[in-house]
Amino acid sequence: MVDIEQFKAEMLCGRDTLLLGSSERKKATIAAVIDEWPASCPETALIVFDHGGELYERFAGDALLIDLSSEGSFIPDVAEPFVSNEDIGVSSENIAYAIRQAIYQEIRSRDANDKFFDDLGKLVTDRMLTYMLETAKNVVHNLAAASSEEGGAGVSRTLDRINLFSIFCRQHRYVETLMTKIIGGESDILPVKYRIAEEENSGRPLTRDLALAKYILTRELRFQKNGDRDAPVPFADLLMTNGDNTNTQRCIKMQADASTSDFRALIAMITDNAALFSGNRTLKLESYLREPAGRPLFISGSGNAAADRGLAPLLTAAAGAAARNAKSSAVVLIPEIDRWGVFNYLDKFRQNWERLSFTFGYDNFFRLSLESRTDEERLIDTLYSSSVQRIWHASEEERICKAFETYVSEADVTYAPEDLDSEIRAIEREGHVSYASLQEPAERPRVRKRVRLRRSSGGTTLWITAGAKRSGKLTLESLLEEGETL
Amino acid sequence: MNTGSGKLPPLCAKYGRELNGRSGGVDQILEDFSALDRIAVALSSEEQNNVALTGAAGCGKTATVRKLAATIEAGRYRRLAGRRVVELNIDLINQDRKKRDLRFKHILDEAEYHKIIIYVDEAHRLSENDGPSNLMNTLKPYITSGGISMLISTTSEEFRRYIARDRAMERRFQSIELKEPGPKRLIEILKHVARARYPQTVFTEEAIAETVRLSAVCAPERAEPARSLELLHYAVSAAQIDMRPDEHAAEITKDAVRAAAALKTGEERAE
Repeated sequence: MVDIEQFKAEMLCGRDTLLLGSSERKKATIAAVIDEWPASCPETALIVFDHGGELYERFAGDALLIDLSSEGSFIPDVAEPFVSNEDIGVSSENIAYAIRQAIYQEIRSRDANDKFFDDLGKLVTDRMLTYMLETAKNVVHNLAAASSEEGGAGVSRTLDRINLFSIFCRQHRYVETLMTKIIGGESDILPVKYRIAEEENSGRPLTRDLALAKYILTRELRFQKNGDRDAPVPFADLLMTNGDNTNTQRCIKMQADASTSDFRALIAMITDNAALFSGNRTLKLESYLREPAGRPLFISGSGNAAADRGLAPLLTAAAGAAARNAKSSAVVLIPEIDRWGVFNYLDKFRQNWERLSFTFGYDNFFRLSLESRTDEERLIDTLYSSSVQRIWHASEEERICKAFETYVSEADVTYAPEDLDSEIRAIEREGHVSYASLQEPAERPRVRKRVRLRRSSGGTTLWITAGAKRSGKLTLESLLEEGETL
Repeated sequence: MNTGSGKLPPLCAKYGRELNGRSGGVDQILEDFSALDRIAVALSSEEQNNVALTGAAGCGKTATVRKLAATIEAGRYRRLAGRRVVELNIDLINQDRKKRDLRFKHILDEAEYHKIIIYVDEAHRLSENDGPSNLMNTLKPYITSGGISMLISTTSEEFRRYIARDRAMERRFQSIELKEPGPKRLIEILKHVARARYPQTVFTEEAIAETVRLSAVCAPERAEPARSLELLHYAVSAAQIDMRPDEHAAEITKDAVRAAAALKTGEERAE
């Protein structure tokens, strides 16, 4: 008779696990894992992508919530872990590259033409992110100065108190404008060199324009391929035209836009709702991962599917960086991977972020097939190869039963998915299966309810007041007001 | 080791049905503790803990097993307390030819582990396929090692043909023959079923006697009490055919039984 052990949540720690079988059984497993986690694995962070928010609302213990549509939610600082990492954070180019890995949806190149635009789309994205980082860095330095925080230590202390990602997002519109102008042939988009020296000498904080100009002048001369080394412009080597024939550059920009559309939706949400978020606390991922104290971190859908798909991979990568910084581990639980746009990044994350392990399932097989651009026939193979362990639940679905037969050694099998009941799970690694029993938790009522953020008149900018210049001394608080960072 | 309460293990649940706790029809069966006691003692035995219930078709083998399960559940036999009786669906097991033997083996593993008493009706179906792939070959090591307790129902002829020819198997089985009830007992059974099944209908004494008499004509190939019960149910159905579903026949008389028997054998229905 087969030996049936007790199912434990810690079976998921350190192993990338795929959940297969009936939705009802998978939900029960997930609920049991979350319930058990604080007691079983208090030192390991559990990050739960909970699209509908029900898991969070029914969890009786202490938990953290990231939900860009709800009050009381944390706003994660997903930029800071990259910046703080001693390998990644050495330069804005490194950080931009790390971020791009988590936001750029690669296309499968069918020919050299596709490859050309994809490669250039990536370069443009890297450059865009680098400029955003450099100007955000300038903002942080200004904030530190405004708080009389001196030197590198002062900047680090300031970084602890702010949401770097919010500041980073606010740089996007300006950098985006530069890209549009350079495609249109507007080459005089930056102040000339001698004005930078004047502004620096005046002792005033650098403006966004000048921060960018300074960066380009001092760092990017090597990219100038279009003649005048004394008149550098951002994106000159990638997007500059004389205004007449702009098709190629427009296509490059469109490629970059399309491949980062979800990220842009996230940025738009962060910046457009900045006033609404002003009351929300920032979640520093490294602090959380260093000491999760048995509190799961739930990420709920905001109602904006694109922004959710922009947030999920970026947050995951940031958690990976934060886990590395904190020298701790985390389990990322994604019951409905097809809702979060993470699947295409999964292999990359598994390779890059060694301190994260992923447990994932899917809600709608067809949707996952579309998202991953994989035929349904091959999708199970793809899912299988993205995991080292599978938990098979009861199922009569032909696809599942057939996959089980394919991957599992017959000699080990006592129960196939069609034989399993509501208690027994088959745990399979490298074709060898064992069985574990789980007492499914009873359906729990909601213990909390998310409250939607609501716009109030205090959060909107009235037409009559728009454009009015701020007077008086710059303070940290004034610099953090909506839309104004410098 | 799980010997009782809780869910059935997965394969027993999928390919069988638990007879304990099922009340449907069992109350209609008049206790015959002499038969039940004999079976229970046999199942409790260390050596011959498998029982082959033999007897003519319709003599009540399956009903007896169901009654046994209910009696065990009610706690009559302390030695068998907590044991569950599961009737296997051999047709379902046979459906997947490729995995049949392995599947059956795992079912027997579950039965052994959870101390489940396996019941197979018409046990000759275990030997439907001659050669190494018939289920009897899979079953044999479990029987001969004493690992499981099994109840089978079969005719005497089939028992001799499929079980008794193998000495090792025969040693592990006790054959208990269920005989047809005698007339007095048969009348008791019919009255018991009539009361239990049709509480709103009165059956006259003559009707019961006529049922016993005419059942031999209607179904001579079947054994008692099945053939009399069949005619009894038929007579009620015939009497109620022109009534609404919520109505019931007030009385079943001798004439009603005669009319039903005539209808059953193909003669014209009396107006």
